[in-house]
Amino acid sequence: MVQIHLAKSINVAPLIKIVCVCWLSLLAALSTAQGVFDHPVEAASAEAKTLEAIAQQLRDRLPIEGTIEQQKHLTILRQPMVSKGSFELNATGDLQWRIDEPFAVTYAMVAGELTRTMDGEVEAITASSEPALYGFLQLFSRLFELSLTDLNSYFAVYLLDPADTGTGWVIGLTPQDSRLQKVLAHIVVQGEQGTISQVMLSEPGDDYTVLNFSYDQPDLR
Amino acid sequence: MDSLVIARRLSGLWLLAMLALAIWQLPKLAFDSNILALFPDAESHSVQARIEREISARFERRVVLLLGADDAAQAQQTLPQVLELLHQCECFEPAQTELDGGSLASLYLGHSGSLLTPEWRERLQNSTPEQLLEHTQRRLLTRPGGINAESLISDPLGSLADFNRASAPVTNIRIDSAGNLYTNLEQRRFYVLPLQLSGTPYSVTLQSQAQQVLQAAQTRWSQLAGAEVLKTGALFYTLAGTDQARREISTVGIGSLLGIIVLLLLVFRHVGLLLLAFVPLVTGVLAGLATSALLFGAVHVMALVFGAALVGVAIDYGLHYFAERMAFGRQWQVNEGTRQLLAPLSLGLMTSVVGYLSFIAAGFPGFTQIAVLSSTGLITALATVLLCYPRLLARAPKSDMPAYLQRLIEALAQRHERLLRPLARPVWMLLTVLLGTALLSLAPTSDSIRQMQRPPPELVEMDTRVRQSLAAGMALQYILVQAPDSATLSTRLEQTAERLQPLQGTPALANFNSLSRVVPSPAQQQLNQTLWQEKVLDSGLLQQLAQRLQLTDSAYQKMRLAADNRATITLEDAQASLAERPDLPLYFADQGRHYSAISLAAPLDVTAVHQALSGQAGASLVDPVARTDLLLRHYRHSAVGLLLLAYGVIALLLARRYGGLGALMVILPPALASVLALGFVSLLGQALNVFHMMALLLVLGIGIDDTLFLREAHTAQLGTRLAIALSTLTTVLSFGLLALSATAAIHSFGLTVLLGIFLAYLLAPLVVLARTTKS
Repeated sequence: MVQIHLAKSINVAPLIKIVCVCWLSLLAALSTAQGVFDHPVEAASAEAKTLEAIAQQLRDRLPIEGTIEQQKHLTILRQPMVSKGSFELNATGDLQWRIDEPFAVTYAMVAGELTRTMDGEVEAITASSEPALYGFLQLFSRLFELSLTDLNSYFAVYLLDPADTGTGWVIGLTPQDSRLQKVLAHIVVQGEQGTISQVMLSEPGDDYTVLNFSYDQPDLR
Repeated sequence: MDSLVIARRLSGLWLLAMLALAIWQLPKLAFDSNILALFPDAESHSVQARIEREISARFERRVVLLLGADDAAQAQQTLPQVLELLHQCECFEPAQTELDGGSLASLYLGHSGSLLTPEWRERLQNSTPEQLLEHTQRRLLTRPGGINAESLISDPLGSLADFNRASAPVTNIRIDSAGNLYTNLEQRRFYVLPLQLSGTPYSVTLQSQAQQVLQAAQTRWSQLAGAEVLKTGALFYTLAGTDQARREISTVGIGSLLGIIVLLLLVFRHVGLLLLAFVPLVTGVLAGLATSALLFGAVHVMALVFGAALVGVAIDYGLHYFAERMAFGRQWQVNEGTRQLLAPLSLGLMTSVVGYLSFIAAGFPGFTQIAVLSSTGLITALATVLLCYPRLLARAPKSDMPAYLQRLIEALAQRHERLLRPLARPVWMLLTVLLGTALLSLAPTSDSIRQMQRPPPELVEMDTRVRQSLAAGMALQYILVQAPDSATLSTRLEQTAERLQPLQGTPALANFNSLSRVVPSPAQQQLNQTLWQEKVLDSGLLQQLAQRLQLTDSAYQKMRLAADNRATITLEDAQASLAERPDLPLYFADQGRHYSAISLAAPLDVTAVHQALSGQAGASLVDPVARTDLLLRHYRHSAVGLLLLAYGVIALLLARRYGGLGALMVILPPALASVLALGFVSLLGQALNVFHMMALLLVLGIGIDDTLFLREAHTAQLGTRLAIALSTLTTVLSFGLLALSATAAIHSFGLTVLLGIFLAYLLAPLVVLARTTKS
């Protein structure tokens, strides 16, 4: 009951009729993470130091590779669009983002230049030709740097540290740029120690995307 | 009434009027340095002129800086400081980056069936529904972050997103991780700083503000290792133009002033007279500036360069007065002396003003300003002389002209006349003039604007580099397409683009930009709709897609409705959105006709483009450079006609006073001087252009003074000879310095006046000799 109540509170009522139990538990997890927006991070505060510590842990794990599962939840779809793949990120911010299922496509961001490889053909993608895609991959590679000053130029930053959640940390980002606000309501990043386990991007309205990350060598943590 | 009294009253009135004008206009004096204003603007009301004005208005305020450095991290740190420095200046306002497609995207929304790129037309035609489905699903599932519900419903296949991309500005500018714009040039990263001037780059105040802050920014950036700054924009050309004009004004102005001071001190040995000599000069220049400001709003810097040369002519009236007084010596009687000078000075002023004002008839706006500035300046200078000098110089000088000076003038005059005497045959002179003119008509000529006005080569080279790296190199030539209605216009734009397609990327044509890229013709949109209907709606593709994606029923209904839009977008619908895109060619309707341009990128081969267009209705290649060259040729011819006309008019005016032969003898020396001067210039290897011809108008207007004064001098030969020698020296000093100008046009002008005036002086005594020989 508590779970349903929570789901209602974030206004996903039209979905409730069709969701299954696991779906509800996912929403519940997300809702806990929503609480992050009560904890803004001020510059030079204790939270800022915690954030920097988290960032340092993330940076220390670079280069890193892992698997990705993306779920795209749109209210106009009866079920989410799901794709799976893997990623590699090195210390200089270069990123390989491979999608294997249901179609094979590889994105590579090297020194800020993005390319897409599809059916063996390489195509350059610029920020102006596909801004959403470029912005997303850039954001992802920058997430591992988590520089508060950098983030602050685009987002208001929030943090729930492990002391509050009992498990990992949760970082919330809300865009400050009006153009970005049109396509993005907020971002919630969850992780523990030196890894990011989940990123959720919410659009204005009820649509959102969840990215789950897993890592092959948990013993490294 | 006595003519002297009339002259002085008129002078008083004129000076009062000028004083009022100066008080009204001079406080708000502004300068304009647009070099092109010097050149013809004859078709200012034509469609072509409108297009070209719009194009230059779009680009003239833009300034782009490219900053490169070795260390990327340092560069990224310094960049915000440089930007802040630049934005502090009022001279810049926020610039459009041209990276997004503006409001066209919202205009396209809901028109996915009408707006198909050529690739999508081909894909719809040649793919099976299964292939299309797969393509669509792949697109949806392989874009991390990707697609939202709204775009999925309005653009299910992603074809409209591709159309949007194809219609976006073509640019090589990219964005780095910190949000800075950059471009790669010769394998080096350059940060791109697009700036927008807050006013016209021709404003001298704005220029100096911008120059200071740009210098500061450049200094800040230069502290980085391997720093390199490239820049482009009309501003840098106008800055170079203003700098050059400023240098030349000071060379000409200071040079001629110093020369005059030395001359006056040497001859008259009196500081008071020296100061007095500058009074008409100052009033003349001020009145010229005030009148130009009143008539033209802003004074052209080039007119000012010529205005500086005016110094050498305006001083002549004073010189004549001083020389006359000196020649009379202790016998000086102010009214008698002034009366004797009145006729030659007035005639001299009249001929000079006729010479200058004939510039106006030539139709060059810059020259019109020069004519107005110089004419009012000269009139004011003479008025000042006539009004002030008789009062201030009423007393006779304490001594007569020094004996050595008298002897010197007489000796020189004798030698001069002895040399000239063999030439003093009117028939002989006339034949020489005619023969010389015939020979000169065979001399090489040039009407190329590019040769007459050359911007600094290093600026051009940098400009080319920057434009190439930004893929923004636009040629001056363009294709004008016109039609009775907007639908026909867009069809013609499409047809023209098709004809240009085979040339694209070849040496014949680097690239082109047509509005058909962003707004297809209604006919093409209907063809697209038919294809869309068949392949997307009727084939059941949309329905299958909805099933595969498990779209909700209501969402499918919305998608279906959006896909079934039969409306087409016209150029008129898009007009407002098109205006937001300075990278796109112009579209406008005027008196029931619709016009657009297709812009071309250099390098291009005019003949090949011409051929490609042959037979295409409503499309024509416009070549402003060739058109200006043609105009310059036309003006060169009309300047010759004007010159002959001016000689005729002056001869007629003088014939009333001197009779037919007398008038001929007055105009023959400057005519001969002109022919010889032009001959020299031609022998020096210069191709004759319109500016040489314009200079001859001045040789006539000023050179004829010498013969007039000698003709009028009667008994007072001594003073007159001294005066014309001095005035020739001052004129040669001031106009001769124009010959040093780096602008070919001004150089041609200055050199011709220099030679012409000097020769006119040498030949002037012929007017007296011919009379004595004849009698």
